Amino acid sequence: MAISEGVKAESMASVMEGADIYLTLDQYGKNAPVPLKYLPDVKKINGVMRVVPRVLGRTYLGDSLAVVVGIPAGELPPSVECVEGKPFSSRGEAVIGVGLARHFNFSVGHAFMLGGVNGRMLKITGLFKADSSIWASDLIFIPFEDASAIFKTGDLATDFLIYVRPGYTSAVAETLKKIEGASFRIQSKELVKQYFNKGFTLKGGIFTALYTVAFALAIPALLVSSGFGLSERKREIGIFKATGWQTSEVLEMVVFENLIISLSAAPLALLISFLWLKGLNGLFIAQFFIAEIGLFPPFNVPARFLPIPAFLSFFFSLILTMVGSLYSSWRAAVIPPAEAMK
Amino acid sequence: METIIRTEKLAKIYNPDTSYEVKALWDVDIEIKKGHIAILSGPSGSGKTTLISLLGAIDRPTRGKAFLMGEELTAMSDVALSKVRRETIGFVFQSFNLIPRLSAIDNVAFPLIPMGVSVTERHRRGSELLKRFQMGERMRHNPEELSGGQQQRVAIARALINNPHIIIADEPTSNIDAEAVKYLIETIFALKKEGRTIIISTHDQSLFNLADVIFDVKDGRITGMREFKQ
Repeated sequence: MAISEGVKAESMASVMEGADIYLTLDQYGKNAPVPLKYLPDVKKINGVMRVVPRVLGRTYLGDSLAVVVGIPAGELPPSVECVEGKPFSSRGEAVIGVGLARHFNFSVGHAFMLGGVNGRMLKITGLFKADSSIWASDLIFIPFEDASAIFKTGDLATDFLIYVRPGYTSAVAETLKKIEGASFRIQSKELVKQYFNKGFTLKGGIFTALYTVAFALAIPALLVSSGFGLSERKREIGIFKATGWQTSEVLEMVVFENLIISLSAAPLALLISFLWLKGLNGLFIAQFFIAEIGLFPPFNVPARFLPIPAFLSFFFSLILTMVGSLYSSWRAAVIPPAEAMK
Repeated sequence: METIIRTEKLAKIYNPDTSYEVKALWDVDIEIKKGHIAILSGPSGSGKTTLISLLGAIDRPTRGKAFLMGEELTAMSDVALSKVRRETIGFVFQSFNLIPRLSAIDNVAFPLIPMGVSVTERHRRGSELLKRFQMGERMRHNPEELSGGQQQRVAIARALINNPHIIIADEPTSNIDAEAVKYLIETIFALKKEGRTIIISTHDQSLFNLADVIFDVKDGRITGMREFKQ
């Protein structure tokens, strides 16, 4: 859950710093590349401050699948900060994430081939560090024209990033709908936020569902192991009853013990998850939340520890210990002590 | 002298109405006077432990009645039986039945927990009893670190923690050495002097000299009764 929340937080930060409107063509309800011929019309709309055409694609750089972003020079997103060198200014140049640079032992001034046999030779002008560790791991920013050539997009862009004056988003969207000859798919920042939220809720939901299944299986397993395999505990309860304890007092003690166990188990679970994420960088578990990162995440896995999962870990451990022990303890307490002590 | 325990046609049958039916106790009628030492004597498997469990209110009969100070034990609810065990009876089990994870003093004092006695008071009373039985030096030891005789002294101290009228001991000499038996006999004698009623199940004749009454148990029945003037 902490990884999911961490990735969500980084993604949200990226969205908040991103464009106000993402414009593509609509092809059967899906995004389709948008022709560059619409660029002047979009720029002319009242309220539009800036339009950035973008080409997005994925290609291999050595053994790594990298995400390539082609944008006009001088249009690097504000969250992308060059920690070494400077942004590209002309064709044949590139800015790459520090994670990727570290992986290939690249530094400013090095050149690399991108896009296979028909690709482009690009010279690194800068290394960037983004707010998002995932971005910094496998992202390459190159000039729009180079990206267009590598991915053979011709006069198309993957999308237009439209930045508008505050309060103009709806009006600009309405005007975009009226541009003749185009069937645009207009996605505002709010809509993208909703997509992210839905996506992460779904991912978190799947994990919660798996957790619930494990939880549901654990209950009968505990019942079987504690209810039917009870021996030492049953004998102990028999001794308590033989020395004058009431059934209700035995159960009270069991509840108190469970509370202590759960109160100790929850911080322990949090400590283990914290060490797993910070010490082992989410080894093995991170791949369930971040696609294609494999067993050993190549970047610092983002993680956020929120109070609700912490409370849930306490709550679930309490429920599990209660279910596992209360019924079997009650059964041992209601039979004659002589029988329970056998 | 006042009768403290009485039974009428007391019977305990295990697995009744099955092919594994065992009549562990059958038509037992006995009476035990207040302040007496009563011994249930008989060979292993004769039904002594079953009878002593019924008298100690830690088991229920299949039929028949048992009375404790005039109150019918066999008609009591689980709550009422627990109250009887808490206030009137102290039980010393054959295998001592100490809680392994608790120290000697905690084993002695835990029956006081549900009575709302404070930790300090519990420990004061527990250590007082353990010192009485020369266990003051070993009160922080767990049962596994104690000898059989020492464990028995802890078990006796636990049985006395609530200051009960009746002490019941099941085969108290079976798990201890000769030295400990000698000490046990002195203890039983001292408890009798305090006016407590003591019921012991045993086939160890070294304890017979202490008895006011001996009930011979064989095949689940009382086959004889011998009374002595102490």
